[in-house]
Amino acid sequence: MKIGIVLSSTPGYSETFFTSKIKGLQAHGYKVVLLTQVANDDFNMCPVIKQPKVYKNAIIQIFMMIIVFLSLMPHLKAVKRFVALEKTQKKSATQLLKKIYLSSHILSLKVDWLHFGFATQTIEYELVARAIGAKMAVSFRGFDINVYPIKHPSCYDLLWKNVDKVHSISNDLLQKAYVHGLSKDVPFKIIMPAVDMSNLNLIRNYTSQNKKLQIVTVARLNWIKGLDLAINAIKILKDEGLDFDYHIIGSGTPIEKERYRLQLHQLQLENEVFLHGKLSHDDVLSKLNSADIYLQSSIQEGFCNAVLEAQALGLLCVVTDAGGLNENIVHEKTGWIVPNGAPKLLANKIVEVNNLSTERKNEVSKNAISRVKHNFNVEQQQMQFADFYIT
Amino acid sequence: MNIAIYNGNLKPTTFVLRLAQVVNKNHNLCVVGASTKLFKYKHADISFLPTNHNNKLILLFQLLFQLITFLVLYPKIWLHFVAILRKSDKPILTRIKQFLIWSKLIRNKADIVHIQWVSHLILFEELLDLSYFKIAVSLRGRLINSAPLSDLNLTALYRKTFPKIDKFHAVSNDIKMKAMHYGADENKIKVIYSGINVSSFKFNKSIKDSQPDTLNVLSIGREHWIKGYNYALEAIKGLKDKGVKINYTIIGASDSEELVVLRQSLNIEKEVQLLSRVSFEDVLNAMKQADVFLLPSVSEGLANVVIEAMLTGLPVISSDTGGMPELVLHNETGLLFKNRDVTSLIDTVLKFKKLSIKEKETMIIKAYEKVNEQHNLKQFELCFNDFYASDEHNTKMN
Repeated sequence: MKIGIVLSSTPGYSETFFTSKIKGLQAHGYKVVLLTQVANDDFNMCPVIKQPKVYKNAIIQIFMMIIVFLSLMPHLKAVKRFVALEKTQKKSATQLLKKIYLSSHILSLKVDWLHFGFATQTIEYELVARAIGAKMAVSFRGFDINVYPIKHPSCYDLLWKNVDKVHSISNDLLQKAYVHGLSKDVPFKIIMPAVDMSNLNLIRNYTSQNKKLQIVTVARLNWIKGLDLAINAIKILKDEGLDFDYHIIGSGTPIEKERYRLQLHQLQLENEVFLHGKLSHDDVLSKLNSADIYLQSSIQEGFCNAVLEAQALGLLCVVTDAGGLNENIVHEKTGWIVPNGAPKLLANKIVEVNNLSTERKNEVSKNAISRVKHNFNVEQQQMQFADFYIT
Repeated sequence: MNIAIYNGNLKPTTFVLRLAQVVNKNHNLCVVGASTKLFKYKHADISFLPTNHNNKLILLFQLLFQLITFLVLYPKIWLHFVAILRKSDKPILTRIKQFLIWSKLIRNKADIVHIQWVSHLILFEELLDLSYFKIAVSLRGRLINSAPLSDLNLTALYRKTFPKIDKFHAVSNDIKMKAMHYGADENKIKVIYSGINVSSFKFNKSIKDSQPDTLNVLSIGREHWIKGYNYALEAIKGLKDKGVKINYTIIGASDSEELVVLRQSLNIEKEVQLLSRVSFEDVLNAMKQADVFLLPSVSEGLANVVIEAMLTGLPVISSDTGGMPELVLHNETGLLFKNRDVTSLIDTVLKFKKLSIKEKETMIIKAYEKVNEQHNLKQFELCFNDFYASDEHNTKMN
């Protein structure tokens, strides 16, 4: 069976979600082809077909269109079907030409399944799978369901009508998709993210109480990560006299950096809180390894790989009850879930966790490691994806 | 005296327009900045001096023309400017702009250059030790309060240039104190509150008679994290949970992904309206409909919109950030809550709800008087004429 996976760019080395999915599918005898806008040279796991570019220069654009249309001649059947399908959507001739051009790399393809890596990528391409006689699958990620359709209601109406199977990384996203109009008749499968445990150091022991408490968050400085709340909670900890360092690891735009620098300045936390920016995977691991408590105060989450990795490393995780985080953590077993929006509750929970007995800390830490190992391992995820296209 | 208002571009802000209105009588005022126009022109009684074109090819022609003509007219200054700019390690495009700006200011005989946006000091820093013209700088909002905290180049620029600036205009006392951290001399900073034409507002001094069932809260301002709307939404959620019937409208923030998603996450979609920008007339109408104005900003110089709300007779609740406590005197001209503190905001709204009509009326009258005293156009005119005139005196002495 042949699977075409649609992504915006070829996955980088660290994007294990897609690389392990591709590896797993190949190991189970599938042929995989990637369809992307950007292809990086270092990617060689499977064939990659690039989407034709849009040129600013009109003459070059017309020339490229002619070449692309000529190359579509052997696939006239698919193109005809595509035009017939698109016509039902009342598209103008120019829109249609543009669509054929942008979909040409898919229209010339023969696959059994066309799997879109993100729901937002299906927009304007909802009909192309049917045109080439393939089944259409789509994966839901956090942004796809938690953000985009809130601002653009009914953006997925056409997707819901044409999708053959959906993959969601959490039950929460699936339930929200139903609210946004996904029919309950559409087959689905929840396949949660996985952690490659092979290169993590899994020995952790909470013994000494003497050293300064180390708290860490790995998150982009985007508003959805709720860092306003985390920093306000940290301020309460300082006012209560707790001695700690708080490390925030993740990139941000200049505007985002300014937002949190100002907050730290106004709350006089510049000596306690460190914005590290983006760090290499090794540096992130070493920061996580030397930390005690992992904090995630997101406003919304699809699932959150960072929290899963923190548990894999045996960190004591304190998170808000945002979306997929409720499935990521088992409250009071592998970490703690706190109601969103209240800095005081978050601060209290951190103090409470810090004051736990060594035995209790080690118990939660071991629970977390073992749950990730058993329920979120790469082999299991690969099996589930191999099953996805046949059951 | 020739006053050049360096604005970066030739689209003057409300502030610059007001300035032109009040100082033009005694001085020649000219707005200076980049433009697609090539020559000096007049529009609605204000002179505009275009310095540099945005198109690189035209800019090159402008440079050639200016290099030749300026050499003929001011050979000594030409040599000096070229020597300074050749030594500089700024990008070539910046240096071309600098030469064009400087030489045009000299040719137009500017006595004082008033920089509107403090980050533009980067274009003038080489001239601060020299006496070609005086340099004045306006200190306002974000560029002092937060931008230098994350942009270390800006911090370095302020530290280097502030001690050498001839005079500063600060929009609030709070901004003045912050500028002093970067080495600005206290005596050189003049706090001039923004002036507003009181007569374009109609003050309604009576609070709606019957205690309304639903509290209508209004905020106005562009969509930006600095406006603190995320805290306001959290507070609305808290008030809703306490059983308060509330309706919150934000004008100007309809495009914010953060607010749209937060509103949905907090389940307050019925209570919160996010509207796009509207005309001044519609702003006044919205103020008339509302029961209270809310300024949840996490940082402000001194928000003009609060002045406007006070002029229409709308009670104000504001965060205690930046210059806001200089206008919103707690329990007198309005109510203040602790910046970034949702609980404090909730308590303040509840407190407002409990005020009697009489207490609210006293508050809005005091607020109206405060604005009239602190932000009237006459005051603004006197202060700015004085601000520039102190230089005239020095120039004559020289």
